[in-house]
Amino acid sequence: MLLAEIVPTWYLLPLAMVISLVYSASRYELPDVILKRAFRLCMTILIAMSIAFAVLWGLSYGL
Amino acid sequence: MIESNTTSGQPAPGGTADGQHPALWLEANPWIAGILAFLIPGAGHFYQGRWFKGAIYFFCILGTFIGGMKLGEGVVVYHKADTRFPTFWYATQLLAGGIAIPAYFQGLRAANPDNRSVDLAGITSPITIPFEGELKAIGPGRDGVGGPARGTLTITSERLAFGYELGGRFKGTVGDRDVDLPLGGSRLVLGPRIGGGAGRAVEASIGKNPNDHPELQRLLIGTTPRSFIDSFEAPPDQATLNEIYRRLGPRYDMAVVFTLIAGLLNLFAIWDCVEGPAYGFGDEKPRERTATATNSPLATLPAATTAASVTTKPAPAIVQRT
Repeated sequence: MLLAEIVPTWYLLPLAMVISLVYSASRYELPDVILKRAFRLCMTILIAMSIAFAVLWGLSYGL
Repeated sequence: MIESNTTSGQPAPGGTADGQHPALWLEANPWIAGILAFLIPGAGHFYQGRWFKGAIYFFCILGTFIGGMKLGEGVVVYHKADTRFPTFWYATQLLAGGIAIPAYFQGLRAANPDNRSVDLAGITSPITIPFEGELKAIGPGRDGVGGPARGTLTITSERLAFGYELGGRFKGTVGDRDVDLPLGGSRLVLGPRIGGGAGRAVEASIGKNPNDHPELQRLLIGTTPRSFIDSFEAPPDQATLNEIYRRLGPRYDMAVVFTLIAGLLNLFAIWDCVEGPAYGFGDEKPRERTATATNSPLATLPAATTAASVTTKPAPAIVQRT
Protein backbone atom coordinates (compact mmCIF):
# COMPACT_ATOMS: atom_id res chain seq x y z
CA MET A 1 0.00 0.00 0.00
CA LEU A 2 2.81 2.37 0.90
CA LEU A 3 4.58 1.59 -2.36
CA ALA A 4 1.43 2.35 -4.33
CA GLU A 5 1.22 5.72 -2.63
CA ILE A 6 4.87 6.49 -3.27
CA VAL A 7 5.00 5.50 -6.93
CA PRO A 8 3.47 8.71 -8.38
CA THR A 9 6.15 10.74 -6.61
CA TRP A 10 8.81 9.02 -8.71
CA TYR A 11 7.57 11.09 -11.62
CA LEU A 12 9.10 14.07 -9.85
CA LEU A 13 12.55 12.76 -10.66
CA PRO A 14 12.42 13.35 -14.45
CA LEU A 15 10.43 16.51 -13.80
CA ALA A 16 13.21 17.90 -11.61
CA MET A 17 15.81 17.00 -14.23
CA VAL A 18 13.86 18.70 -17.00
CA ILE A 19 13.19 21.84 -14.99
CA SER A 20 16.86 22.06 -13.99
CA LEU A 21 18.10 21.64 -17.55
CA VAL A 22 15.71 24.13 -19.09
CA TYR A 23 16.16 26.71 -16.35
CA SER A 24 19.96 26.48 -16.51
CA ALA A 25 19.88 26.63 -20.30
CA SER A 26 17.93 29.86 -20.10
CA ARG A 27 20.52 31.36 -17.72
CA TYR A 28 23.77 30.43 -19.49
CA GLU A 29 25.02 29.76 -22.98
CA LEU A 30 27.99 27.42 -22.67
CA PRO A 31 27.11 23.69 -22.64
CA ASP A 32 29.45 22.66 -19.83
CA VAL A 33 28.22 25.51 -17.62
CA ILE A 34 24.62 24.59 -18.35
CA LEU A 35 25.17 20.94 -17.45
CA LYS A 36 27.09 21.76 -14.29
CA ARG A 37 24.50 24.27 -13.09
CA ALA A 38 21.64 21.94 -14.02
CA PHE A 39 23.14 19.12 -11.98
CA ARG A 40 23.49 21.36 -8.95
CA LEU A 41 19.97 22.70 -9.28
CA CYS A 42 18.55 19.21 -9.73
CA MET A 43 20.29 18.01 -6.59
CA THR A 44 19.01 21.03 -4.68
CA ILE A 45 15.44 20.40 -5.81
CA LEU A 46 15.60 16.69 -4.98
CA ILE A 47 17.10 17.27 -1.55
CA ALA A 48 14.51 19.95 -0.75
CA MET A 49 11.71 17.69 -1.98
CA SER A 50 13.08 14.80 0.06
CA ILE A 51 13.14 16.90 3.21
CA ALA A 52 9.59 18.11 2.57
CA PHE A 53 8.48 14.55 1.90
CA ALA A 54 10.11 13.27 5.07
CA VAL A 55 8.53 16.02 7.19
CA LEU A 56 5.07 15.43 5.73
CA TRP A 57 5.44 11.69 6.06
CA GLY A 58 6.48 12.08 9.66
CA LEU A 59 3.60 14.42 10.45
CA SER A 60 1.09 12.06 8.85
CA TYR A 61 2.52 8.94 10.47
CA GLY A 62 -0.24 6.89 12.03
CA LEU A 63 -3.07 8.87 10.44
CA MET B 1 29.82 38.11 -36.97
CA ILE B 2 28.42 39.84 -33.94
CA GLU B 3 30.09 39.00 -30.69
CA SER B 4 29.35 39.86 -27.15
CA ASN B 5 31.39 42.73 -25.80
CA THR B 6 32.98 40.24 -23.44
CA THR B 7 35.05 39.12 -26.40
CA SER B 8 35.94 42.46 -27.85
CA GLY B 9 38.33 43.58 -25.17
CA GLN B 10 35.65 45.34 -23.20
CA PRO B 11 34.58 43.04 -20.44
CA ALA B 12 31.06 43.13 -19.22
CA PRO B 13 30.47 45.19 -16.10
CA GLY B 14 31.62 43.19 -13.15
CA GLY B 15 33.04 40.36 -15.21
CA THR B 16 35.61 39.34 -17.76
CA ALA B 17 35.47 36.64 -20.36
CA ASP B 18 38.15 34.34 -21.66
CA GLY B 19 36.93 32.89 -24.91
CA GLN B 20 35.44 34.03 -28.16
CA HIS B 21 31.71 33.48 -27.95
CA PRO B 22 29.54 34.67 -30.79
CA ALA B 23 26.17 36.02 -29.69
CA LEU B 24 24.23 33.95 -32.17
CA TRP B 25 20.84 35.18 -31.02
CA LEU B 26 21.71 38.64 -32.35
CA GLU B 27 22.48 37.42 -35.85
CA ALA B 28 19.03 36.04 -36.65
CA ASN B 29 15.71 37.80 -36.95
CA PRO B 30 14.33 37.84 -33.39
CA TRP B 31 10.71 37.77 -34.55
CA ILE B 32 11.17 34.68 -36.67
CA ALA B 33 13.21 33.03 -33.92
CA GLY B 34 10.60 33.86 -31.28
CA ILE B 35 7.70 32.57 -33.36
CA LEU B 36 9.60 29.38 -34.18
CA ALA B 37 10.46 28.93 -30.50
CA PHE B 38 6.78 29.23 -29.63
CA LEU B 39 5.57 26.85 -32.32
CA ILE B 40 8.16 24.14 -31.68
CA PRO B 41 10.25 24.32 -28.50
CA GLY B 42 13.88 24.58 -29.53
CA ALA B 43 13.15 25.41 -33.17
CA GLY B 44 14.08 29.05 -32.68
CA HIS B 45 17.46 28.01 -31.32
CA PHE B 46 18.01 25.65 -34.24
CA TYR B 47 17.23 28.57 -36.54
CA GLN B 48 19.88 30.62 -34.73
CA GLY B 49 22.42 27.80 -34.87
CA ARG B 50 22.36 27.18 -31.11
CA TRP B 51 22.09 23.44 -31.48
CA PHE B 52 22.91 22.32 -27.96
CA LYS B 53 20.36 24.54 -26.27
CA GLY B 54 17.84 23.84 -29.01
CA ALA B 55 18.17 20.13 -28.33
CA ILE B 56 17.71 20.67 -24.59
CA TYR B 57 14.52 22.67 -25.13
CA PHE B 58 13.20 20.38 -27.83
CA PHE B 59 13.62 17.11 -25.95
CA CYS B 60 12.92 18.38 -22.44
CA ILE B 61 9.82 20.47 -23.17
CA LEU B 62 8.25 18.26 -25.81
CA GLY B 63 9.21 15.16 -23.85
CA THR B 64 7.51 16.52 -20.74
CA PHE B 65 4.41 17.53 -22.68
CA ILE B 66 4.07 14.26 -24.58
CA GLY B 67 4.95 12.29 -21.45
CA GLY B 68 2.13 14.04 -19.62
CA MET B 69 -0.31 13.29 -22.43
CA LYS B 70 0.73 9.65 -22.46
CA LEU B 71 0.46 9.41 -18.68
CA GLY B 72 -3.06 10.87 -18.80
CA GLU B 73 -4.07 8.58 -21.67
CA GLY B 74 -4.54 11.52 -24.02
CA VAL B 75 -7.32 13.16 -21.99
CA VAL B 76 -5.19 15.90 -20.48
CA VAL B 77 -4.99 18.69 -23.04
CA TYR B 78 -8.33 19.96 -24.29
CA HIS B 79 -10.34 23.11 -24.79
CA LYS B 80 -14.07 23.33 -24.24
CA ALA B 81 -15.49 25.77 -26.74
CA ASP B 82 -18.59 26.40 -24.66
CA THR B 83 -16.53 28.57 -22.32
CA ARG B 84 -15.92 32.12 -23.47
CA PHE B 85 -12.20 32.09 -22.72
CA PRO B 86 -9.76 29.20 -22.59
CA THR B 87 -9.41 27.78 -19.12
CA PHE B 88 -6.33 28.63 -17.10
CA TRP B 89 -5.13 25.07 -17.62
CA TYR B 90 -5.42 25.16 -21.39
CA ALA B 91 -3.94 28.65 -21.63
CA THR B 92 -0.87 27.41 -19.78
CA GLN B 93 -0.64 24.26 -21.86
CA LEU B 94 -0.94 26.41 -24.96
CA LEU B 95 2.38 28.04 -24.09
CA ALA B 96 4.02 24.77 -25.12
CA GLY B 97 3.24 25.87 -28.66
CA GLY B 98 2.10 24.07 -31.77
CA ILE B 99 1.52 20.74 -30.09
CA ALA B 100 -1.28 22.23 -27.96
CA ILE B 101 -2.93 24.29 -30.72
CA PRO B 102 -5.01 21.42 -32.18
CA ALA B 103 -6.95 21.29 -28.90
CA TYR B 104 -8.49 24.66 -29.71
CA PHE B 105 -9.84 23.50 -33.06
CA GLN B 106 -10.87 20.12 -31.67
CA GLY B 107 -12.91 22.05 -29.10
CA LEU B 108 -14.69 23.88 -31.91
CA ARG B 109 -15.28 20.63 -33.81
CA ALA B 110 -16.63 18.91 -30.71
CA ALA B 111 -19.00 21.82 -30.00
CA ASN B 112 -20.56 21.52 -33.46
CA PRO B 113 -24.26 20.55 -33.10
CA ASP B 114 -23.70 17.65 -35.51
CA ASN B 115 -21.35 16.05 -33.01
CA ARG B 116 -23.82 14.50 -30.60
CA SER B 117 -24.63 11.13 -29.19
CA VAL B 118 -26.50 8.83 -31.54
CA ASP B 119 -29.71 7.20 -30.37
CA LEU B 120 -32.12 4.86 -32.11
CA ALA B 121 -33.77 7.69 -33.97
CA GLY B 122 -30.42 8.86 -35.27
CA ILE B 123 -29.62 5.68 -37.17
CA THR B 124 -30.68 5.93 -40.78
CA SER B 125 -28.46 3.15 -42.14
CA PRO B 126 -26.90 0.09 -40.47
CA ILE B 127 -23.78 0.76 -38.44
CA THR B 128 -21.04 -1.86 -38.00
CA ILE B 129 -18.47 -1.09 -35.33
CA PRO B 130 -15.92 -3.00 -33.26
CA PHE B 131 -16.89 -3.31 -29.62
CA GLU B 132 -14.99 -3.93 -26.41
CA GLY B 133 -16.54 -3.84 -23.00
CA GLU B 134 -18.83 -5.93 -20.87
CA LEU B 135 -22.07 -7.84 -21.15
CA LYS B 136 -24.05 -7.03 -18.02
CA ALA B 137 -26.90 -9.25 -16.95
CA ILE B 138 -29.56 -7.96 -14.55
CA GLY B 139 -32.35 -9.90 -12.95
CA PRO B 140 -33.09 -13.52 -12.17
CA GLY B 141 -30.91 -16.13 -13.89
CA ARG B 142 -28.06 -13.72 -14.46
CA ASP B 143 -25.36 -16.01 -13.09
CA GLY B 144 -22.85 -17.01 -15.76
CA VAL B 145 -24.48 -14.87 -18.44
CA GLY B 146 -22.37 -11.71 -18.31
CA GLY B 147 -18.66 -11.12 -18.63
CA PRO B 148 -16.03 -9.26 -20.64
CA ALA B 149 -17.25 -8.88 -24.21
CA ARG B 150 -15.36 -8.26 -27.41
CA GLY B 151 -16.52 -8.45 -30.99
CA THR B 152 -18.45 -6.63 -33.69
CA LEU B 153 -21.73 -4.78 -33.33
CA THR B 154 -24.08 -4.31 -36.26
CA ILE B 155 -26.81 -1.85 -35.32
CA THR B 156 -30.01 -1.02 -37.13
CA SER B 157 -33.17 0.67 -35.96
CA GLU B 158 -36.68 0.22 -37.23
CA ARG B 159 -39.35 2.85 -36.99
CA LEU B 160 -42.54 1.65 -35.39
CA ALA B 161 -45.88 3.32 -34.89
CA PHE B 162 -44.65 4.67 -31.56
CA GLY B 163 -40.88 5.15 -31.48
CA TYR B 164 -38.07 2.94 -32.72
CA GLU B 165 -36.91 -0.62 -32.11
CA LEU B 166 -33.31 -1.72 -31.94
CA GLY B 167 -32.11 -4.35 -34.38
CA GLY B 168 -28.81 -5.90 -35.34
CA ARG B 169 -26.40 -8.42 -33.85
CA PHE B 170 -23.39 -8.73 -31.62
CA LYS B 171 -20.87 -11.32 -32.82
CA GLY B 172 -17.82 -12.03 -30.71
CA THR B 173 -16.88 -13.47 -27.37
CA VAL B 174 -18.23 -13.09 -23.85
CA GLY B 175 -15.65 -14.39 -21.43
CA ASP B 176 -14.30 -17.44 -23.27
CA ARG B 177 -17.56 -18.24 -25.09
CA ASP B 178 -18.27 -17.44 -28.73
CA VAL B 179 -21.61 -15.68 -29.02
CA ASP B 180 -23.92 -14.37 -31.71
CA LEU B 181 -26.57 -12.34 -29.93
CA PRO B 182 -29.50 -10.41 -31.41
CA LEU B 183 -29.90 -6.81 -30.31
CA GLY B 184 -33.35 -5.77 -29.20
CA GLY B 185 -35.35 -3.45 -27.04
CA SER B 186 -35.07 0.28 -26.96
CA ARG B 187 -31.75 1.00 -25.33
CA LEU B 188 -28.99 2.38 -27.55
CA VAL B 189 -26.34 4.97 -26.83
CA LEU B 190 -23.49 5.71 -29.18
CA GLY B 191 -21.29 8.52 -27.88
CA PRO B 192 -20.30 11.54 -29.98
CA ARG B 193 -17.86 10.89 -32.83
CA ILE B 194 -15.45 13.64 -31.74
CA GLY B 195 -14.40 13.54 -28.11
CA GLY B 196 -11.59 12.88 -25.69
CA GLY B 197 -10.51 9.37 -24.92
CA ALA B 198 -9.69 6.59 -27.30
CA GLY B 199 -13.11 4.97 -26.97
CA ARG B 200 -16.55 6.14 -28.03
CA ALA B 201 -19.18 5.05 -25.48
CA VAL B 202 -21.59 2.31 -26.57
CA GLU B 203 -24.61 0.90 -24.78
CA ALA B 204 -27.02 -1.50 -26.46
CA SER B 205 -29.60 -3.87 -25.07
CA ILE B 206 -29.68 -7.54 -26.07
CA GLY B 207 -32.93 -9.09 -27.27
CA LYS B 208 -34.89 -11.63 -25.25
CA ASN B 209 -33.91 -15.27 -25.49
CA PRO B 210 -36.76 -17.81 -25.00
CA ASN B 211 -34.42 -20.05 -22.98
CA ASP B 212 -33.61 -17.31 -20.46
CA HIS B 213 -35.69 -16.15 -17.53
CA PRO B 214 -38.34 -13.72 -18.86
CA GLU B 215 -37.21 -10.99 -16.51
CA LEU B 216 -33.52 -11.29 -17.35
CA GLN B 217 -32.13 -8.17 -19.02
CA ARG B 218 -28.80 -8.03 -20.81
CA LEU B 219 -26.93 -4.90 -21.74
CA LEU B 220 -23.71 -4.36 -23.66
CA ILE B 221 -21.71 -1.52 -22.12
CA GLY B 222 -18.34 -0.55 -23.55
CA THR B 223 -16.57 1.45 -26.19
CA THR B 224 -15.74 1.47 -29.85
CA PRO B 225 -12.43 2.98 -30.95
CA ARG B 226 -12.26 6.55 -32.10
CA SER B 227 -9.96 7.61 -34.91
CA PHE B 228 -6.84 9.58 -33.99
CA ILE B 229 -8.19 12.66 -35.76
CA ASP B 230 -11.41 12.55 -33.73
CA SER B 231 -9.81 11.95 -30.35
CA PHE B 232 -6.47 13.83 -30.35
CA GLU B 233 -6.77 16.67 -27.81
CA ALA B 234 -10.56 16.63 -28.13
CA PRO B 235 -12.59 17.56 -25.04
CA PRO B 236 -13.82 14.53 -23.11
CA ASP B 237 -17.30 14.29 -21.65
CA GLN B 238 -17.72 14.14 -17.89
CA ALA B 239 -18.25 10.38 -17.86
CA THR B 240 -14.95 9.79 -19.64
CA LEU B 241 -13.15 12.14 -17.25
CA ASN B 242 -14.66 10.40 -14.25
CA GLU B 243 -13.65 7.00 -15.57
CA ILE B 244 -10.09 8.10 -16.33
CA TYR B 245 -9.72 9.74 -12.95
CA ARG B 246 -11.14 6.71 -11.14
CA ARG B 247 -8.60 4.51 -12.92
CA LEU B 248 -5.51 6.75 -12.80
CA GLY B 249 -6.06 8.66 -9.56
CA PRO B 250 -3.06 10.88 -8.71
CA ARG B 251 -1.37 9.90 -11.97
CA TYR B 252 -3.93 11.99 -13.83
CA ASP B 253 -3.03 15.01 -11.69
CA MET B 254 0.63 14.34 -12.35
CA ALA B 255 -0.10 14.14 -16.08
CA VAL B 256 -1.77 17.56 -15.99
CA VAL B 257 1.17 18.98 -14.05
CA PHE B 258 3.59 17.66 -16.68
CA THR B 259 1.79 19.47 -19.49
CA LEU B 260 1.44 22.67 -17.46
CA ILE B 261 5.13 22.71 -16.61
CA ALA B 262 6.04 22.06 -20.24
CA GLY B 263 4.08 25.16 -21.20
CA LEU B 264 5.73 27.29 -18.53
CA LEU B 265 9.20 26.02 -19.44
CA ASN B 266 8.65 27.06 -23.04
CA LEU B 267 8.39 30.65 -21.81
CA PHE B 268 12.04 30.35 -20.73
CA ALA B 269 12.92 28.97 -24.15
CA ILE B 270 11.15 31.76 -26.02
CA TRP B 271 12.72 34.43 -23.85
CA ASP B 272 16.18 32.93 -24.22
CA CYS B 273 15.69 32.70 -27.96
CA VAL B 274 14.82 36.37 -28.33
CA GLU B 275 16.91 38.01 -25.64
CA GLY B 276 19.76 35.57 -25.06
CA PRO B 277 20.82 33.90 -21.83
CA ALA B 278 19.89 35.83 -18.71
CA TYR B 279 23.26 35.56 -16.95
CA GLY B 280 25.58 35.61 -19.95
CA PHE B 281 27.75 32.89 -21.38
CA GLY B 282 28.72 31.48 -18.03
CA ASP B 283 32.49 31.78 -18.15
CA GLU B 284 32.76 35.40 -17.11
CA LYS B 285 35.21 35.81 -14.24
CA PRO B 286 34.41 38.01 -11.26
CA ARG B 287 36.26 41.31 -11.56
CA GLU B 288 38.57 42.09 -8.66
CA ARG B 289 38.11 45.48 -7.11
CA THR B 290 40.40 46.99 -4.55
CA ALA B 291 39.61 49.94 -2.46
CA THR B 292 42.74 51.88 -3.15
CA ALA B 293 41.28 55.30 -3.46
CA THR B 294 41.70 57.21 -0.30
CA ASN B 295 38.35 58.85 -0.69
CA SER B 296 36.60 55.54 -1.24
CA PRO B 297 33.99 54.74 1.38
CA LEU B 298 35.34 51.20 1.42
CA ALA B 299 38.71 52.38 2.64
CA THR B 300 37.17 53.48 5.91
CA LEU B 301 35.40 50.21 6.57
CA PRO B 302 36.81 47.45 8.78
CA ALA B 303 39.00 44.91 6.99
CA ALA B 304 36.50 42.10 7.32
CA THR B 305 33.82 44.19 5.67
CA THR B 306 35.95 45.25 2.73
CA ALA B 307 37.28 41.73 2.21
CA ALA B 308 33.77 40.44 1.93
CA SER B 309 32.77 43.02 -0.62
CA VAL B 310 35.74 43.33 -2.94
CA THR B 311 34.66 40.37 -5.06
CA THR B 312 31.47 40.99 -6.89
CA LYS B 313 29.25 38.53 -8.66
CA PRO B 314 29.55 38.41 -12.41
CA ALA B 315 27.06 40.64 -14.08
CA PRO B 316 25.16 39.67 -17.20
CA ALA B 317 27.25 39.94 -20.34
CA ILE B 318 25.95 42.95 -22.20
CA VAL B 319 25.76 42.59 -25.91
CA GLN B 320 25.56 45.20 -28.58
CA ARG B 321 23.64 45.05 -31.78
CA THR B 322 25.44 46.28 -34.87
